[in-house]
Amino acid sequence: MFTNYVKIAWRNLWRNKEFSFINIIGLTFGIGGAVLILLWIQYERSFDQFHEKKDQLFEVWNQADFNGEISSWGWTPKPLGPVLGADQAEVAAFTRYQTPYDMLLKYQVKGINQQTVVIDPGFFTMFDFPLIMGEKDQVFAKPESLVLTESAVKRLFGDENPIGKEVVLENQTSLIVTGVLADFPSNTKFQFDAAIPWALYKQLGFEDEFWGNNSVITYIELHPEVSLETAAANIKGVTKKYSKEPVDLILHPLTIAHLYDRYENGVLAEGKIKMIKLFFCIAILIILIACINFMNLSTARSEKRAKEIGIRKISGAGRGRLILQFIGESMVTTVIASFLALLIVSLLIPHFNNLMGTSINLPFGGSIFWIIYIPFVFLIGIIAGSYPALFLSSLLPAKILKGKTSSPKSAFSLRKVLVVTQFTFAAILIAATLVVKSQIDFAQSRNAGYDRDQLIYLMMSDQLRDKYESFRAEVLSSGAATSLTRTMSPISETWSNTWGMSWEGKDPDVTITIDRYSTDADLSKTLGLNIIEGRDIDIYQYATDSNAVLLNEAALKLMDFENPLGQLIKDNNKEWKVVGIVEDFVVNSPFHQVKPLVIFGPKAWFNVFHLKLSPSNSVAENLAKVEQIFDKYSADFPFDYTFVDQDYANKFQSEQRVSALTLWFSGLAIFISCMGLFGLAAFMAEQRLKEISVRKVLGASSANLVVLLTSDFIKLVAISLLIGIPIAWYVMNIWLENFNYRIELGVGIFGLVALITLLIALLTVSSQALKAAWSNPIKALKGD
Amino acid sequence: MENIIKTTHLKKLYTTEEVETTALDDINIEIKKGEFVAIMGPSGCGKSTLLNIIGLLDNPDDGQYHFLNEEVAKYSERQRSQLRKGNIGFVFQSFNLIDELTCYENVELPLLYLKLPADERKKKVVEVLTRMNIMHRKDHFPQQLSGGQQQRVAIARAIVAKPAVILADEPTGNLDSANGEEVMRLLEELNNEGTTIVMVTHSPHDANYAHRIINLFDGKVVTENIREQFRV
Repeated sequence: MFTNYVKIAWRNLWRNKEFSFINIIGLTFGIGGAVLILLWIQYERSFDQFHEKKDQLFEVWNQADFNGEISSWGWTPKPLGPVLGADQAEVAAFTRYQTPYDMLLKYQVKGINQQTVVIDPGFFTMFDFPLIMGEKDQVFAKPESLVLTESAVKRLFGDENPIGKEVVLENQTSLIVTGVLADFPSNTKFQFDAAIPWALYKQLGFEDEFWGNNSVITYIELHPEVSLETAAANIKGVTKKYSKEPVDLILHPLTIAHLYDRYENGVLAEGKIKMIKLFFCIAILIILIACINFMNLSTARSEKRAKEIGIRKISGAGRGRLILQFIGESMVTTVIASFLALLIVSLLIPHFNNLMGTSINLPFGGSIFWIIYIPFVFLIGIIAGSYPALFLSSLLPAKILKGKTSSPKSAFSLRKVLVVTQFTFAAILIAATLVVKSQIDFAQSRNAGYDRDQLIYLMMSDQLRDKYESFRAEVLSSGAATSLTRTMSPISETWSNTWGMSWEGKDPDVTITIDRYSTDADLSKTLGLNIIEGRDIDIYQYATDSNAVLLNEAALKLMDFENPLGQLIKDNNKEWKVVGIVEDFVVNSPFHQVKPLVIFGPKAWFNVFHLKLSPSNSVAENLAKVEQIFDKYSADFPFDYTFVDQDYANKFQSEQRVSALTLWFSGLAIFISCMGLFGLAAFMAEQRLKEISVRKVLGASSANLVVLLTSDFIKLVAISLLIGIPIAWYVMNIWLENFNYRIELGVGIFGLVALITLLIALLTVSSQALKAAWSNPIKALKGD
Repeated sequence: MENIIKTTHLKKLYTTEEVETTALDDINIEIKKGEFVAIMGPSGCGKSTLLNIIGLLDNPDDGQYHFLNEEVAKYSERQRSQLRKGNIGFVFQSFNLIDELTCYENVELPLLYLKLPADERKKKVVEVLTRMNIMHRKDHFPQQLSGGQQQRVAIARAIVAKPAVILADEPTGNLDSANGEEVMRLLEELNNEGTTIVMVTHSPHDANYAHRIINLFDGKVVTENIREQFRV
């Protein structure tokens, strides 16, 4: 019996090539798309799940009540880790993690900037990052130790054995290579080239005991027998015990850290997981759309299959047998599609990885994949085959054999419902694509408030720090740059903020976080900022500017000075005098409102300097000149510069990925829906051929007939739009709430959605309608 | 002789939104084992409806129907399907072969649903195809055969499970006279071997093969003629 089913399934597939092609291609793309999304979801979920002690590992977060709103953040003070390690019995190990920062590592004459972290020895025992060379408990036995990754070793030493070799850090401190870490897999949040111990940083004087300086991430490992509740309760008040900071501590599990990276008013909020859930829904939608095609085309063909069903029934087939047969047929189609889908996935994975910045591997070699994939394919086969099987097996043989094979009204109505469902999904996805794209365009075209053209920045090396003024003078006189400014951080980000700032008239009960920035001179000239009141800071012209500050408009609004110039601001136990107000400019996210920013004079610190390259020379000439001068003053450090416009473009990366993903998958969903509609239109045209012929003989023009044949489908698509657009409006408004600086969803964008959807449907259907309208009526009528 | 089919006050209505049509009205017939009965009457008189009910493809709306001494008028589709299996063979005017299956596979179909083992199926199919003189075309698909050949395959399929009754709905309607004659001779032969045959026909010539002719008009039995040589 089984072979009989497979045989007839195969012959049916072969005989109805057009329908089979549509079904197989639809399911292939549906399954392929869903597999790709599911692989991506699996990848995102796998972050840091490979540590043996993963359930005992936590990030320690700060939590504080600011004016009735609970803020939570993962940056913690440097003394926290050691205190937790020493005082809390439930803590088995800890490590502080100073995020990667370019540091110069020099072996013999070769110096390279490497992304270097500062960590505690606990790092090696807490996490499962294998050491290729060195012992976990020995690598940081001495402060002057350096652990490199495999790739960093290759870059610095080539094939030489690095263990025991001397490497000079930042041209100052000699370190000995004590260990080599295997390169990190991509599915971990820890990514760096080199690690040095906090013990060394302490020796160098970089460690502070200031509990208000939240600058490192603190990880702890709990003893396995300790309950999370007990540990959390015990650790909660540690900061308050050791300092006056109004901060509680919470434990954020490492296992969820990648997907949940923020709290809203003290409650864990959805981060990346939101996108994962969204795309999981899209995966299901795509599969459903493909299954709907299968259902629609199979039931549409029921008249052709009716005779066979009648004969089988009178030959003794029960309904169960027929259901099995039709499910079997959909299974054959699904299995073929599932193999083609894997082929497509393997072709697309490299592009997908490239687009998403992931490193998803083809999992075909692993048994787990097949253990999941095979039932998954069977489930799809059952879903796709279920309705046709139930419907076809319900046909009554007496009616079929009497020639009453036209599908019952209910089936046609359900088919309409299915088409409406498909196009509702399609309309939602088209709307999502357009909204995401518009939002990104909107933020990209936002006036950042500064001129990114020909603007570069470099890290301030220790060598240059002392001779910066001479360097600056020489660069300016060379004509390579029109101006330079030293700053605390690149213009694309702020590295410091505080809630400790005060000024006259400030309500002492209100805690407000204000971003910090700094400059020595020419900030407005170099970055193209607009000073709207007062003047720029210029230490070279005004010696007293070392404690001057500039406020941005948002800061001015917050501080509410009537006459801001000359006002005093207290920060870091120093007094600063306002000399100017600068128009708001985008430092952090271009999707959010500009936050209050205070730009300090040279009494603050500098890590970076920006250069505005001269427009009179080529960029290459300018860079060559600057490099020459740089090498003169900072010979041991590489000339690693970054274009600000590139940095700015990177701010859109995550949203652009969302945009690309929605574009890919909505395109896919629309393609599959259209294939189904095409098949259905072909079938309907074939079914109505006699009617068309009669109308034609009676004088209907081709245009009349095309309108007749397409109008039914267009009505369905119009209903889909009526359902889909409000859903899209609702969902996309929720998405837009992620951005302060956002577009308003107007009628225009949804008008465009309607137009695109209708146009796509019309194009799909009209080709079949035209074919039918142009056919020779004699052929269809001859049979009567 | 024992009754194989017996209907008492059988009634069948067809209802659409506006009209109710009485397709069969108070039909009382008895068909004995081994009989060859022809049902005749003008188009729309209810012949096929009666054949469908007799063939357990449909239920009457009223009255009783005994098939093999079992009251089946209220049977569900599942029960009717069970009873049909192996007991009733159908032959149609339009042959009704499955286009996607070969002749051999078409004939094998009822045996598959009877869950017979493969070797037994093969034996029976070969036997019946040989008997129908169509064995040489067993691997052909229906469209590759002439009408007469297709009807021989259809008869082969109807008899392969050795049913007690063969119901034939205008079996020669789509055939030329020579092929029609051959089909009728085959049915006669089967009847001679003991198979009960109920045949709906328009053709007085074909009806002549039957022992008894039931004439329907407007859903009622108007006359029952027993052919001379079969009168008891």
